[in-house]
Amino acid sequence: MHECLLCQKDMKKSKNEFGNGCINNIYKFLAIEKPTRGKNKELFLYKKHYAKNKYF
Amino acid sequence: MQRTNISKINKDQKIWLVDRYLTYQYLDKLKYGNFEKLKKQINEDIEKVDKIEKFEEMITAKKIKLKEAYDLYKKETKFKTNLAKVENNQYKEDENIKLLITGFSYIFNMYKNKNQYEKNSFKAMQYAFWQTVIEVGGRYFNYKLAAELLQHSLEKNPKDFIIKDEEIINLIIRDENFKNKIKEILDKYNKQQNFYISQGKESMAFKNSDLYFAIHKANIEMKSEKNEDSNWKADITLSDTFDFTKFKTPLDYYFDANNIPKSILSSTLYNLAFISQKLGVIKEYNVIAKLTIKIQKNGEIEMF
Repeated sequence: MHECLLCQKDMKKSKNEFGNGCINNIYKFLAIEKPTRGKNKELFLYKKHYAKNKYF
Repeated sequence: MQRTNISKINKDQKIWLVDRYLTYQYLDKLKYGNFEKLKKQINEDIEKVDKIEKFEEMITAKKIKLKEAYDLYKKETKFKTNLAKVENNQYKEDENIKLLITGFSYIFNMYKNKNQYEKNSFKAMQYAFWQTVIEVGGRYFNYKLAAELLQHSLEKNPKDFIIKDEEIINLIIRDENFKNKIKEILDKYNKQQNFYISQGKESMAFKNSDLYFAIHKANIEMKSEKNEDSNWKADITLSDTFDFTKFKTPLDYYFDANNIPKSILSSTLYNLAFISQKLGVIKEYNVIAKLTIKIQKNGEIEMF
């Protein structure tokens, strides 16, 4: 069973660390642009938004 | 995120909040290393995020970055996956070598990693790694003594290890190199009725693989006397320090193992152990075996 790191729900499809619901909530909370389909949302968040501020 | 009033925080504070929150989540999942104090401090940072104006005002801002926590989480995940593969032991010898090098070598790479949390985490993973080597080595390769000595070296303050196991003592007595060494010494002192060799004057390397990897080069202390039948009685103390003090090449092991994959595996494990000893994961101690033997005229050795 592959659980979401944040809410511990079983992620049936996602191979990332966060479920779609949780990662989408983060994007919504930060009011930032989500990646196009197929891209890893977790890594996109870090590389696109956090890296430029040197947090990642 | 409900620990702070998010309706009143600005855009930057939201970014910092998510940063610390995700950092916390990664650290919370780690099994190797102690992050309790750090997690508590991150929680404090999260609760005060609405009061700060710069990210650097957070206690943990310079202690651990989001990327460091992410990388640590990923490395531990990789480590656990590879450890399970070794424990299941579905691989042949040369595949084990490849797994050993690609799957675990990074946890021994301390030079680039300056973060203290990563160092502690890697040390804990090294400890788990050696526990698996002990189990696999003892079970699969049948190196029971080497596995037992390695286990002993992982203790906090290992005391000197005295070999008392009869099976191992018999293994020593039956070892070809041991017999040849005793014969060589007795030939030297054959004209005397008794003699004493102090520690440091004579040494030997065992032929048996388990003894070789466990004790390797044993120092010999020997007190002997000849009886009426011209048979010798000898009190022997074999001793060595169980440690990994310098890098070894596969060639150092080839002539002993006479097997290329085994010699590469052995030298790789030895060199990883060298690093673990430098970091204090593996500790050195003395290994001692005391035996009293009778050596007959025909060279046969038996316990006295």
